[in-house]
Amino acid sequence: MTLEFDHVNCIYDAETNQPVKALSDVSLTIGGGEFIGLIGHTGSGKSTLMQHANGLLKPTGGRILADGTDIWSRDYDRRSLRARVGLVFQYPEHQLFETDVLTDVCFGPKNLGKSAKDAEALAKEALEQVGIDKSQFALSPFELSGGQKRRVAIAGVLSMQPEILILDEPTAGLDPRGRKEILSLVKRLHREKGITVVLVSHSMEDVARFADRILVMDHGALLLNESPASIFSRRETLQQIGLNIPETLLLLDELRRAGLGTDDPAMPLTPEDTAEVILSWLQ
Amino acid sequence: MASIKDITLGQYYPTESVIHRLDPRVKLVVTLGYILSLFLITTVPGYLLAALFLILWTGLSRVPLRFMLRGMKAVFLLLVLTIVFNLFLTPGEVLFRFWKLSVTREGLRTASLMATRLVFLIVGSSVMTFTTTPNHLTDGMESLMHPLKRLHFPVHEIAMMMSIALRFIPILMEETDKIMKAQMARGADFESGGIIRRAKNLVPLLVPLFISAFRRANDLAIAMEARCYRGGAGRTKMKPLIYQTRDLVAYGLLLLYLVLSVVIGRDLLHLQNLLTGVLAWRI
Ligand SMILES: Nc1ncnc2c1ncn2[C@@H]1O[C@H](COP(=O)(O)OP(=O)(O)OP(=O)(O)O)[C@@H](O)[C@H]1O
Ligand SMILES: [Mg+2]
Repeated sequence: MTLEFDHVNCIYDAETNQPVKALSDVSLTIGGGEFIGLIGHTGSGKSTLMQHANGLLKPTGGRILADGTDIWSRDYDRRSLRARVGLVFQYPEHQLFETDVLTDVCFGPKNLGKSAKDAEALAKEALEQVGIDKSQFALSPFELSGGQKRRVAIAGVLSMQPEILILDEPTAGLDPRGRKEILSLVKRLHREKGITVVLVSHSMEDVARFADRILVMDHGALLLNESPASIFSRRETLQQIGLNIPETLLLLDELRRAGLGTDDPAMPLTPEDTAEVILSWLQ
Repeated sequence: MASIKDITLGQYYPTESVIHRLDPRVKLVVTLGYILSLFLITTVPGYLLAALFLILWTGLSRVPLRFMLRGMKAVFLLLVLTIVFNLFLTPGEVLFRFWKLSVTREGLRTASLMATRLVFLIVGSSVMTFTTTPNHLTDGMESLMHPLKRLHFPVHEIAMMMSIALRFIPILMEETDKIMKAQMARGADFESGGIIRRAKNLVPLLVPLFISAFRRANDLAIAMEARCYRGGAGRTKMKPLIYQTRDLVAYGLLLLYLVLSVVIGRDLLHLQNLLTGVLAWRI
């Protein structure tokens, strides 16, 4: 499915004397099995934008179209939209509430009207995908480690079989190993299931490694919407809004400035690739 | 979610005005004095005086009228019931009949007086919450209740508890909003169904909410202990409350108003009864 944002505006607390303009005139398209990175400074409107994608927030201006239909038109079934556009919130483990892991993951499918048996099958499949072992199905979610809880929470959304999966800062508050696990999980889901993924992040490195396309938000506006290569050639623009190009590219820039290497436009995004580029320069 | 925002507890309206700058103790005393006067007043000129005071009090606060009236929505039903009951159920000289009900002169009089009193009371006391931050308000209460310390009444502790509770209201409301959205993203439905169903549907909201409240309480307790908090003994204030000229002027005006409302607002027969009553009680 494709989601289209058409000149979307959002104002929080519009009726008070301190309205907050959180989104201004955002137009973009999400879909087609892409891996999209969404990046921006704190308070730039990333979470707000994503909550519009599945109809949790209603735009104060503009339209959101799902496969061409306005999701705020009368009689539109927004609950089934929420199954197709899975949204994993920041710190999703805070939403766990059931007595055991499996039942918690069943919550989504059951809400969609699936029978207990089907819901359980979907939940088991989702838990397997996120790498939770069968022996842990019967544990209380509160007995798990932080990283495991988060994976259970992600499974809670995956079990609804979304066509678009949006993850709002899925690595926030995890240690480096936990971060890596979650990111490779997301990458694997994208590759194996062919679903569209939107990864919201503060970290240019995380986004850079996986995204086919990067969206850059600044003060509620969509500043850039391009391929990683094209985004990273705009170092000044990024730095102006408090972001930076990935560290791997920064390192190569420094080396170039020191007179090492060539001006070839190599853009390695993983440490391994960077090491290879530097090696080739040295030889 | 709009429903959560409609609850305007601690409904501070930030703007610049004389009333905003008044000492919170003055505002508390004025509010109490005004409420007292509303119960003293029985005559029409007295009500005019109270109206005059209210116009001055709200006008000076520079809080738009529609915000004041928004607070009235919540008590609208109470207001209607007061009017209806007083109008139809007060015995006396019948003015006209309407189906099986009859409206009496006394009923008309009591209904209109009660309604006026109620509206004055709500608007008059809401000025205080509109113009004073919750923290200021508790500071004011703590200071006013200070004499009770002599009686070993835990004034500081109660004030601290109140300010913590007030501080947590917006946080918990935000948290509720977030968890609600997260569960709605998993297909939860908080809006339809009968009362039992709805109550059941609240479990996925309440469990995470309680867990988060306990987590926050724990964090706060640790943070306070880490800063050596140990109750009110020997504790000084960073911003002590100090009366300014305008505060004294306000007290003076309040006194004048109270005297006037006794003189104008009560018919003298009542006053005499009151006085003899008090004297009799003294003897
Ligand atoms: N429920 C709300 N009520 C009022 N204002 C809000 C609300 N949620 C967000 N805002 C404001 O809207 C703006 C955008 O917030 P948003 O949460 O979308 O930013 P973000 O890019 O996700 O930030 P972060 O990286 O910190 O998560 C901010 O200025 C924020 O203060
Ligand atoms: Mg966010």
